[in-house]
Formats: sequence, C-alpha cells, structure tokens
Amino acid sequence: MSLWIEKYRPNSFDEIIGQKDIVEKLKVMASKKEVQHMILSGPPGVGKTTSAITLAKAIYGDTWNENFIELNASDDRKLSVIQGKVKEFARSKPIDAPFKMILFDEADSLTQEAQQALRRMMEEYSQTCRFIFSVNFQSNLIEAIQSRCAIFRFQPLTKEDVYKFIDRISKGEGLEVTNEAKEALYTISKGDLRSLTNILQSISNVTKKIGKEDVYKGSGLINVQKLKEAVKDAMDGDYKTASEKVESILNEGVSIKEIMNNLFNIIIYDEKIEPKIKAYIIEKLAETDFRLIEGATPIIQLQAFIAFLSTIKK
Amino acid sequence: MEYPKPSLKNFIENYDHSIRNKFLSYFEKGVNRFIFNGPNGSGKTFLAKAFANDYDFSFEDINLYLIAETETESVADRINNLIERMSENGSLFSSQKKVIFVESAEKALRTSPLIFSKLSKVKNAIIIFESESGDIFRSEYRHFISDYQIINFYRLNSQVIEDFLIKVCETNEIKISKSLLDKIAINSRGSLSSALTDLETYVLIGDVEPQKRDQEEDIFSTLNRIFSGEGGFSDIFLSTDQAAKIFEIWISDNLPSVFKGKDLYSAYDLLSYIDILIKRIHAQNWELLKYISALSFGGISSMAHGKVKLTYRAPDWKLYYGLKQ
Repeated sequence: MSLWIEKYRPNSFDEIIGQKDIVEKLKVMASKKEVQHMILSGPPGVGKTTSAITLAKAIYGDTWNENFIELNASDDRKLSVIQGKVKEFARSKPIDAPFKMILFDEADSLTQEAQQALRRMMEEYSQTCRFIFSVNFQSNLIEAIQSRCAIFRFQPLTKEDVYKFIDRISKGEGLEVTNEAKEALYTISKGDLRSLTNILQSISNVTKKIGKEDVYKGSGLINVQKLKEAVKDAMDGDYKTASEKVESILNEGVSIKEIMNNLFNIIIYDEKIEPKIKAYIIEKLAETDFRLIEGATPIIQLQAFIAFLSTIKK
Repeated sequence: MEYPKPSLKNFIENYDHSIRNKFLSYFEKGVNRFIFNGPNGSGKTFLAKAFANDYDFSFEDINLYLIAETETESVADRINNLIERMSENGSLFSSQKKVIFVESAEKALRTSPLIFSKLSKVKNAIIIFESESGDIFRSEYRHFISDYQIINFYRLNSQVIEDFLIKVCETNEIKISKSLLDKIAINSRGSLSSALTDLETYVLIGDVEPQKRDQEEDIFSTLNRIFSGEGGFSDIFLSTDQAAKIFEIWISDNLPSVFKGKDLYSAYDLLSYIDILIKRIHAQNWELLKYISALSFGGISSMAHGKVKLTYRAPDWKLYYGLKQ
C-alpha cells in the first residue's frame, strides 16, 4: 500500500493547489534557472515543501535527487551536523547544474547556534548552494538569515481549495465523501492538506462512503465544535453540561495534549471574552497544563478547570 | 549583481563619517583591538574589509561557529591552536600587517573568554571581533574585553539605504520605479542586506513585494503597543525561553514608569507568574511557551489604560543576571 501523501504530492507547478502568486514567481525562477536563498513561511500543509521540491524537479530534471537534499525535523540538526553533513553538501560542486539546493523543513526548530553557523555558510557557499527554509513562523529565524533570504508567505488554503483536493483524492481512490464530511475534514485539518490526506487514508481503510461521524471517529482528532460548546456552557455557568461534554471527548480517545491545545486556541481567539478575564483564564490554563505535564490526572484537572470557568461571569 | 567594492570611500553611514572617523582615529592612536557592535546589515564587515583594502593589509575572516569539535580536540582547543598558528605565520613568513575579523564575540565569550587575551599575542595584526547583541556589555565579561575598543554601528536610515540602492541600480543598469525603491528602502528597516536581497528578487523575477523582516529592536515599538493596551493574545510567539526571559526583563524594568497602584501590582503579579513558567520550561516543557507569549503580550496589555509613548530605558541586566542566588 502506497502512502497517499506521496502519491498525491504534486509533480508540477500546475498541480499545486492555491498559492497562485508564489507559484508564478517560482516558475520564473525555474525558467531562468536562478534561485535566491528563500524563506517559505506559512501554516503546515499548505504547500511549502511541495513547492520547494517542485522547483528542484523543474530546475534539475532527472538529476534533482543529486543536487537537492531535504533535512527535516527528524534529522539530527545539532550544530555538529550543520558543520559536518550540511557543509559537505554545500561546498561540493553541483552536478550538471549551476548550483545545489538544500531545504530545511520545519526550520523553526533550528537552534540559534545552528542558525549562526548556517548564516556564515550561506555567504561562504553562495556560489554553489542555495538555502531554503520552510517555517511556520518567520520570526523563529534569526534576523541575519531573514535579511539574506527572499521571503514567500504562504496563505492558508480556502475551503474551495481544500474541497478541490478532497475531490481529487476521492476520484483517484473511488471514495464517496458527503458535504458534511468535507466540512468536518476542512475543520479538523485546518486547511493542512498533509494531515487531511493522512486522515482520509486511514478512514478509507474502514469505509469508502465517508460521512461526518466517520471523519471524527477515524481521525482520532478532537471534535472542536463540541469542545467550543463545552467552553461556552461553562462560561454560562453550566458546569454539569460542560463537564459531560468534556468527559465524552476524553472517552473518544482524544489525547489530553490535543484537548489542551484546542482549549488554548478556543480561548485565545474568542473575541467575546474581555482581555483582563482572558489573561486570568490563560493563567489558570497554563497552570493546569503544567500540572498535567507533572503527571496529574487528566479528568480531575479538566474538571477543575471547567469548574473554574463556570465561576466567571461574562 | 555588482556591488561597490569595500573601500572607506564606499562605506555608508547615517552621520557624516562619524563611525569611520572614530574607528580610524583610534587606530591612528595605536589601538589595534576592536569590537564592532551593531545590528545585522549595518556595515561591520564592510568597514573591516574596506579598512584592510585601503591600508593594504591582508584580511582574514574567522567564523567561530564553523569550527567544530573533533574526537581529540574541544572547540576551545581548536580555536586556541588556530590562533597560535596564526601568530607564528605572522612573524615568520610575512611582514605585512593583517586584519583578523572574528565572528562572533558572543560565541567567543561563550566558548572561552580567554580567546580575547590569547589573540592579543598575535603579532602584526589588527583584531576585530564582530558582535550583534548586547551580551558583550554583561558585567561578568567586562574584564575579558577591557583591552578592546568598542565601536558602535547603527541601523541605517532609509534615505542612506535608498541612495546606496540607486548607485547599485546605476552600476547594474537596473530599471526600477522610484516608488518601489522607496518601499524597499523603508521596509528594509535599516538593514542594507535586507534591501539588497529585495532588489535581487526584483531583478530575478521582475517584481517584488518589499518585505518587513523581524528585528530585535522592535522591542521598543512592541513595549509601546503593550503598555498602550494594543497587544493581542496571539500577536507574537516567543520562540525560546531565552527570548521570553529577555522580554520579561524589558517589561519588568519599564513597568513602574507606566503603571501605578493596583494596576502595577496586578501586572507584577502576572509577570511573576510568567517568571515561574519560564523557569518550568527549563525541563524541556516547550508547550508552556505559548502561555508565556500570550500572557506577556495580551495579559500585560489588558491592564493598560490608553495610549502611551515612552522612551524606554535599557534594563540593568546585571540586576537580573549578575546576582548569584
């Protein structure tokens, strides 16, 4: 069984979904065979890595594997690796090409020291190698790297884009996906095509006819809508209803980490909560999270937090 | 693209050669140990190279970050050996003076501060350390670098940058509209390398959206935003515990000049909680960073009472770092 995430990764610029402006610019680079150091920034799964790989394929053709390497977060990226492996690659001559390319996927996690070393290499080996950084937050790179890179900001994908992609996979794999299920897929993947593809593939092992419930069950991910309602109930003073909802979410096998992350996002982006109160809630949430990290019992911590929420008058 | 060659004549700065002349006058007085301190893209490397070129000294560049430890030698040992070799070479084979440009002072201080004094043994050399942060001003380092003259560099104003860009465009016959050049110069926020990168993008693609890049000095405008009540809970993400700590110190040091009475207490109460969260990160609990970010920006901001515009003072770092517990 092949991984869909590789099977449906675009091979040419025209197959990339969304990001029209950026794709046009990359096409120009490919046709001129000239590339700057670049930062590709944006949320996960919107085409950053895919764009870099597509650019490499367009420039190098068959030799793309020899002139392009990708280092992702699972690779060791301590300073010593940068000084060894990366330096070795960057300084050696490209094969039948004007320069090589190296992609740092998820570069947010590069240490400061590693970035300092890289910044020197970008200058020293600019004749033989181009450095591309894929990040979620541009601010996680030091200023010296930012200033030497052209910056491309990838936009979150629209609902239409995501639906288009779901249709592409459904057609290829013979799936039937209801509109409600599409909506649910869009919500839980937050426009991240990588996680969406993985979710779809795992659901398809169970059923080819996919409805909304299949999506939530199959994804092992959280029903954000339900959690939002729980927060609202709690803040309306209804502890009982709120805690029942939270308990049922826990029972669906969602990890506590996932719940905490979502609680944080729900509260941060809730425009209705007055800022001072919001700060107070986040303080409590941070404390709850810390206690969980220390090994406290999830259900007790969550109940305590919900109880706290239900004492707050809006 | 071709850029103006490093020469003292081509070195650009905000005020009438003040940095250049300060440096040269120290050199004429016999000083040959320097630290060039200033932000990225403010001309530190350029001035060092220009100086070497114009005085006909050889130029050597050492990147301490690129020196890796081996199985038999630590980083500090390798650096020391390198320095020793250099001092021998200098006296044996050549009488030509050289400029040794060492990147960076911070790395040297962290690896082994003795590098500064050992380097002084190198004969016939002007030694310049490059530095981009305020670390060199920390008290515990002071005596290691006391022999070194610090030269400060500053962000360039946008007019100086634009003039330079115009020169580059003329040399390379680049056609670009005045308004786009303006925008590149302004958005570069005083970093010449940012501006040149954007100009290169324009040449390559035929179009460019001039980028604003994140800078450390934005601390001032960020503080103003927070103390004016305009900081949002999801505005900024502090990416390391060190960044969080530094930010916390800036807030702490300036709070009393903005908040009064009960607000001051609430803000410090929140800050003291942020403080313990930062401490908890040390055990690799990176999850906590998001709370720290939200609370230091949105949380403190929620206690503000309206627009302020203050000139903030730099914190007394010694107070926060220097005291042993």
